[in-house]
Amino acid sequence: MTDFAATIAFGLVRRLAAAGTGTPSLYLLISDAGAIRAIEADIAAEVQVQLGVGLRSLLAAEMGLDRLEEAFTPNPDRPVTLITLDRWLPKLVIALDRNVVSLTRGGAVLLLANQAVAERLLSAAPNLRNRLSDVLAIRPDEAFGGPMA
Amino acid sequence: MSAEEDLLHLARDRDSQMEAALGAMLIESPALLGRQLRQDLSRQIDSGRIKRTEDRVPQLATLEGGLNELKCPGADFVDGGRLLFDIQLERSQRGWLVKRFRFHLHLPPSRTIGMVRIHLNPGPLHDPIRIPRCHLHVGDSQAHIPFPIMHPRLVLSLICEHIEPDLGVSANHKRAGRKTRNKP
Repeated sequence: MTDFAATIAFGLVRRLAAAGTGTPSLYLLISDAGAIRAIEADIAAEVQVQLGVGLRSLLAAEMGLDRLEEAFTPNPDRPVTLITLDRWLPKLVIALDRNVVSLTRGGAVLLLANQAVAERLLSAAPNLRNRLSDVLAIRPDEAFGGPMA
Repeated sequence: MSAEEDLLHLARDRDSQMEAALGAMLIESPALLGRQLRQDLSRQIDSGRIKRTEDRVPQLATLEGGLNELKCPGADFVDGGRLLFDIQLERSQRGWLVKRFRFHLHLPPSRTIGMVRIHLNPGPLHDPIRIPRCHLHVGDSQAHIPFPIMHPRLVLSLICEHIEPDLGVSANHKRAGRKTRNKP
């Protein structure tokens, strides 16, 4: 897989802040599987500190197709949505791919996955792939010890 | 009561008020304060006052005895100044408390004052008349000028937006058109 630009949650959320929280954007974030929890905590903390809003955090394995509406409904209090693709869920990915416009209409959407899931997503979801603002390799924020928020 | 005892009493009163202000200034967590300070530094970078620093500044470390320390080893101002700071926090039953901080601002050679240091000592000393717990040094002076207890983010903002742009700028320099920032 291509080497993607590396970042931490701080740099990612700086980008979102510069673009404006209401701006539709879609990022694919690739991390080591073992670092995903720390990165989720980093993103939540940075969204709160830099944007002054809460993060809407959804775990793909718990989403189910019947909860997609939740992901698609804009929430002005939580304009940044993080969807953690903790394992490969083809039906969910296809549903997200078909509804990519609805998915991003409320603001920024961050898809967080390990490398294997990200590779499958990039090949199986052409609409998502075409709408991506960027693909970034994200790592825990060493300055604050990862999960400490 | 002698005049000396009277002054000592007044100085202890002042330090007691500082202690109370410190006790009331609860910090949610050292990591959150670190992220907030990093964001504050980023705003200074965005506004063109500070040069770009590393994303890992300030850095959090755990010290002996459970104290947490946020350390900024150096942030460079565009006109040649340099700021270093460290903040130590101690966990209490109610939350985290600021135990000590040191902000050292080195001003560029064109200034009439070389540096400013703002210190919060880790505890009251035996001579509160001479050394208030929170104090300011101008230049390399050993005079300890009492400084109000305030949140470290506010100290950082005060330094970046008011002290660094203005302190030690000579009248000639000002007349020559150097703009001191944030004047109403």
